[in-house]
Amino acid sequence: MDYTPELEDDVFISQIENEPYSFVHQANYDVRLRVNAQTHYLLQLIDGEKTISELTTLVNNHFNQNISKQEIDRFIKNTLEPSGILKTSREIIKKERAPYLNLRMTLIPHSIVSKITRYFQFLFFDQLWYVIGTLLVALGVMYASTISFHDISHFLTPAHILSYFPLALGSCIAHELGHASACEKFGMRAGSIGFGFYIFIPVFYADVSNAWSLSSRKRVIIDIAGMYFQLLISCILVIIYSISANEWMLYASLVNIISFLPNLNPFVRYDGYWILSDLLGMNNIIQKAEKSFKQTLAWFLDKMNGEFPIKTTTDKFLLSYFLVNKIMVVVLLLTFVVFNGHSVSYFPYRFWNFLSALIMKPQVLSFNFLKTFIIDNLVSILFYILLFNFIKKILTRKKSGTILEQ
Amino acid sequence: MKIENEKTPVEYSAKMQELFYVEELEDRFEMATAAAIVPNLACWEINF
Repeated sequence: MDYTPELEDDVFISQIENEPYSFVHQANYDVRLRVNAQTHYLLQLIDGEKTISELTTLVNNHFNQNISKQEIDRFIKNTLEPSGILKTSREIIKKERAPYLNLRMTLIPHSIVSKITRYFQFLFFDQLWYVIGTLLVALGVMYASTISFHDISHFLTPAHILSYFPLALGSCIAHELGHASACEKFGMRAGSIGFGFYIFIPVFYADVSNAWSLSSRKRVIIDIAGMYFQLLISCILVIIYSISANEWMLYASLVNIISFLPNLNPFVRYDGYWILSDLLGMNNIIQKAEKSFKQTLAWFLDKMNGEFPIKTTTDKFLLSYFLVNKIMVVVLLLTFVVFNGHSVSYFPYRFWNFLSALIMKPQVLSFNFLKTFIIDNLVSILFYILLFNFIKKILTRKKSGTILEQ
Repeated sequence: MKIENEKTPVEYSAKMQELFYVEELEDRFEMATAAAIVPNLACWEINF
């Protein structure tokens, strides 16, 4: 049956700067696609008036092809419609945003982020890389000339670390404002800033998904903008130290610099991951690496029949990336357990005692009894909630196969 | 993002795969690890 497909009302299509691809955003489902010029051409033809037969003829004439009407029909029904960019009578399940972030909560909504970032956009200019390089060298010289290893061990005591806590919180918020400011500077709407847990690690986040429509050079600037803002905070602290001779300021600036170094890790979705993705011009690296591993595993389980799926340098990179990525996740998981080892490992035993007390002596149940148990075991309870969510996500993960990739 | 019951990957002809390309982009949530907060949490728990 011939029918007339039509684009959804809130579909935004734009050419990605300096790339032969286009960016498609469907605001209602908040889905973002990267499509090639041919798909862009087809989307432009879909106007709610042309039938599938007419679309097929136009595509075949334009690209000198002989694609069948049935294939165009399947492409529209199985790939474009499920993406939410075409009007359909079928029910589309809205996907969960950033499923890798657990217990996510918004701290600063978009409307406020947009207002705040206006004041910081001037910090992004053409000579940015020279400024960052100069600041890093200046700070390095400053630390080398004023701090010895002995001083560091003296200052990094638990009591001192605790005093850096408010600074760490403020610095993380500034980091996220950096990403959002760069995104808005390049004319793209930044989303909200919030807090959540990524592989059991507490993180702040800034939603800059619209940055996909920018050139890779601009995306890299957005990626490093968070660390750039933290670098500026360290510089301000060093200046205060120079004026006041307050040593806390000097060590706080050093702790601030050290605390953003883990962000360069490219094997988990920190800044390093996005920098790697943008420098290589390869999106969805983690998913692609997972796919590469599954293909290799399937080949191996099939007693190595057929062709070895890892052929190109990209395949080798993706498979190696997958393996290192999984090791990193396990290391991060163990880090969490090690830092809270005693309370986490003994929690089931304490929980059992708590339940036994409730069953055997129900008279002990009081607000204070519950409060003491929850406060004493807060980190452990959090850990097990996250572990439960993590396992649930793995078990309920559904197979997606509606997107046509090259 | 997918329509219910759409669990099998769609097979397209080589010609179609050559001509069209669509890839869903992952959500880009730039995160700050708050790495300094983790040892702080540990300290907080010890001191509690």
